[in-house]
Amino acid sequence: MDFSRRRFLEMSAAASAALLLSRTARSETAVHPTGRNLVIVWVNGGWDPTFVFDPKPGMATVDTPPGELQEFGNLPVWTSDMRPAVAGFFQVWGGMTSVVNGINVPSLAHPPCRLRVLTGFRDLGRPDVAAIAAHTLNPELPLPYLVLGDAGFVGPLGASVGRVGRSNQLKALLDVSEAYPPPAGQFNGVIQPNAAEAEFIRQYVLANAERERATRGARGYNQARVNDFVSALTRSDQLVTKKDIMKSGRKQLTFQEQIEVGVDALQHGLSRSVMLDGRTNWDTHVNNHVQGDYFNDLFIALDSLALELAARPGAGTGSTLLDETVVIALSEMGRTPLINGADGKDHWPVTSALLFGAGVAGQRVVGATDDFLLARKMNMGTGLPDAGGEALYPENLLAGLLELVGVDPSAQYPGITPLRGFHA
Amino acid sequence: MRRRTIGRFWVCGLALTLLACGGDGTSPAAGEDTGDVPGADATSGEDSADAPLPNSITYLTPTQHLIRASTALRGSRPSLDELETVAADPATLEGIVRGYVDTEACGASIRDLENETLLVRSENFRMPGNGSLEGVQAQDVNTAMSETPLRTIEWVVRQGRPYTDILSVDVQVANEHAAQVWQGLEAYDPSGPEWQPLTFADGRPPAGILSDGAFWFRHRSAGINYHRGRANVVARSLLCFDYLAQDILLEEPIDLSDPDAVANAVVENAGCASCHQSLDPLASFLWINRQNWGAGSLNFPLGIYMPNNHDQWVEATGRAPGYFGLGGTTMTDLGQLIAADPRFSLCTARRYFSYFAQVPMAETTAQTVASYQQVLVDTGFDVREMSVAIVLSDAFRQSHSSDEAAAETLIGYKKTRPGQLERLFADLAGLDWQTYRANQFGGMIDLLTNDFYGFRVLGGGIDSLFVLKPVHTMNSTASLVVQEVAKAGASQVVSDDLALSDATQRRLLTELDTSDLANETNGRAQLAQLHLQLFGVQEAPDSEAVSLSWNLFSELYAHNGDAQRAWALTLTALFQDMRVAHH
Repeated sequence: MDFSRRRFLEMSAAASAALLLSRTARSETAVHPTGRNLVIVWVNGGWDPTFVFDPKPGMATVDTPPGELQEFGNLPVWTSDMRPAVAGFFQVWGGMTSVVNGINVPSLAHPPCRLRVLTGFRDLGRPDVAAIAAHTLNPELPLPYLVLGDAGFVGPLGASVGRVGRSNQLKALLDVSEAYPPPAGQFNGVIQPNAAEAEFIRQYVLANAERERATRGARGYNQARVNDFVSALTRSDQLVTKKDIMKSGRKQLTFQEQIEVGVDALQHGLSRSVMLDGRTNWDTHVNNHVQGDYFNDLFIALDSLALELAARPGAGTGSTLLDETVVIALSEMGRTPLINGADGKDHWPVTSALLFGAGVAGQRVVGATDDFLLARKMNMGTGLPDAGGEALYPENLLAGLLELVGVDPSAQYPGITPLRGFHA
Repeated sequence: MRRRTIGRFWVCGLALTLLACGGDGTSPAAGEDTGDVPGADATSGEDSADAPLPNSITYLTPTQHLIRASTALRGSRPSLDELETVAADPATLEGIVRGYVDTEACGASIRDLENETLLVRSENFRMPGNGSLEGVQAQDVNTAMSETPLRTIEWVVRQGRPYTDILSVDVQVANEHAAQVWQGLEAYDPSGPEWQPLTFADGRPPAGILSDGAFWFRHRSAGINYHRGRANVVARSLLCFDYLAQDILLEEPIDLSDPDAVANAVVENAGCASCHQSLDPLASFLWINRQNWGAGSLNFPLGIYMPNNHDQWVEATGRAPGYFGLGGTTMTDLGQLIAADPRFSLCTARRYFSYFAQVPMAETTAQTVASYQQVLVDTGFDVREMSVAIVLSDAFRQSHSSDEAAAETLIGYKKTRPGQLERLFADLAGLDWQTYRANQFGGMIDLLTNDFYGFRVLGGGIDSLFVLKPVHTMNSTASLVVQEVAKAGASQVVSDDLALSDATQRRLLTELDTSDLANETNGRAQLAQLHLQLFGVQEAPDSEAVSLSWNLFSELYAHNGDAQRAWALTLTALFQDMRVAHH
């Protein structure tokens, strides 16, 4: 993607305009008395933090891409004219952005790292942090946690999670005009009930569900399943009424389309958490230098996301959606310090994260790595390196993230010290 | 490019690079579903088979039990005759259930079940036919080429062969397309059945699914991975032993970008060697399988067997093939060693119980499944017998509990999986819920069992790539799936059935008189029959439950004045019932 200096200036102007406009604009918005929205931008395959977040200039122990160190307040970032969107993003949004370095992901395979970074656990039965946040804050929404990409773990919170599908096929369920037609020659006479008929049907189904609740579903697990069944009916109706939020189906959503849908979903009370995924494969065992292009594209998307959020009214008086939303960009692992024999970099069990938005400290770096890209211990409260402190693991970061969005993490992460260094 | 060794290090773990990239990096994650999360809604719990079942538990009625067993084993509902027979004499249930395990529908269920472990039905790879498959649509290619390990297992089971044969047979079950995708198989017989057991014709050591290209195509191995990721897939899938289910904690200096440094660490570093001493020998069996396929090498047919590579472990890891301390040389040896390992039978019992009972694997303790493992072993590894034992067990037929604590952990309702819904509506309504996508990546799409265009994941199923665990509760997308398939099924069966004046020829609506569709006596009789067939509940035509259904029909008929439409919509409601979405 092209990201010229002119684009940067346009972006800055647009951001300012959006910020200004958003504080006066008002339209249909979700009303959330508590908590913050959460957007996860997933970077699949393992990014190389030395391209942006964790500059290691002039070190013999780390192969660093071409670039220069640029300070955005207290935030040092590795930038380059080859990836201008990076500097552009921090110039505009650095005041509300923190970088977290030195996150230990104690594995070297994608699946367990993906699991650990998103859930804080090693076992597959756990929900990710966005599912927990949405389920805790607003389980009654049509799709409390909207997954627009591929990643995402639901654990036992499946009732609160909804996926649009690889080809955005959710739209085919929401909109009769986009329903899949049967193949030629097959039965093609599906009877669509009118509103009154649909209501008769719904009342019947609900009545039978209540009969189940009175017998088999009176307690415990079964009761939860009846509740989910009944709730899903209501929420599916709400989803249908908001079907225009979803893009036209039958094709994979682009990163930009995901952003638009995700922000719409937050604004219009469809969801509290959103997972976005550009679907680029960052697993650069060969030709690691392409990460420069990937980062440029990523920061164009992050800029677009920030702009969209800033341009929408929030639920609170005078606030924007950006004032009420925490965005975190994550990747399951880092890359080795040194280039391998294929001009690539292999898996590395230390990664970084970027956060911006509501309640996020601006221009701050939290945590650190040493000259070998190994994570340094730190003070979880301040985020400063501290040889006598704790090692940072995903569960610390996720617990701190839950706190930031207004969810007490102690139940999900008992005994884990929340990382608060990125809290404003 | 620079190359040097880092001065010090912190972590090590095993196979680092190694286990790391299974080629596409999408191998299943460590561990298993542990169910509940503190503070969340109760959704899982201890299997009550772990301990004597408390007196507070109520069991399903025989007809409800028959429906649950039939749905678990086949997806479809029992016939009306079967339900009436069991209602009259519950002792007949076992014999009827035994008959289910020899059906094609049960074969489909076994394929679903096995896929939740093998994860071969990934639709990430899609390409239109080329080479030997020129002109074949991508959907047909994709489905056929990934299905063969599951078909081989189904074939072994339905042939009545010992389940251990899935690791030893010298065949790969393929259809016309799969036979052209995979090199080295004997010729497909166009006049034979669609799926045929084709003998390996290239001299590869027979090891059942371990000799199947589809298995290794899904679970690939990057060059420096040295088949370690694949070895873990074998251990996880067949032994329920996952090397990745533990943290990697290196404490020695290692440069992970240097293969020599890594090779040294997995031998010399205690933290690494603890796993690699068994993982690497396991991986050394696998060198005869092609490691990976680059974008330029995806021309059909695809080869998997690379006999000249059999000893490349010498250069790679230097560890000779071995199975947890036992010697072996070939893939055939590996298959036999796994089959003889008690962990294999225990793992099989756990997987089957977990799938049928919808109890998370992590909660199916050895104690829970020991009796099923015993059945498996005692019957000469007949998983049909084990499956019958599971679905006839008290643990499986639990309905609910009057005790609050017991109710929290009693998994009563089982959610009907998308594949089960597909077979249910095909059987009850004659519905093939499909669409046709006319593009190069398209073809005929089964909407309930497809992820790329269809609704499998939205309905709670897995995509075998990112979504690796099914969702056993309803959410708004799963609800929409049920609502839509219910409409389609109801519309079709009403249209088809009511076009037949001879009621005995109909699929479902055998009690209605087409000359008087609004006749109350017939209508109530029809509804009572549907209550039994769909919900497993015997109701009198004038019962409260049937009256509720009759009232629905009456309201709809009064509203639209079209009795056939009213029946279609009434049936839509019945199909949307919670007792169809769950069983």
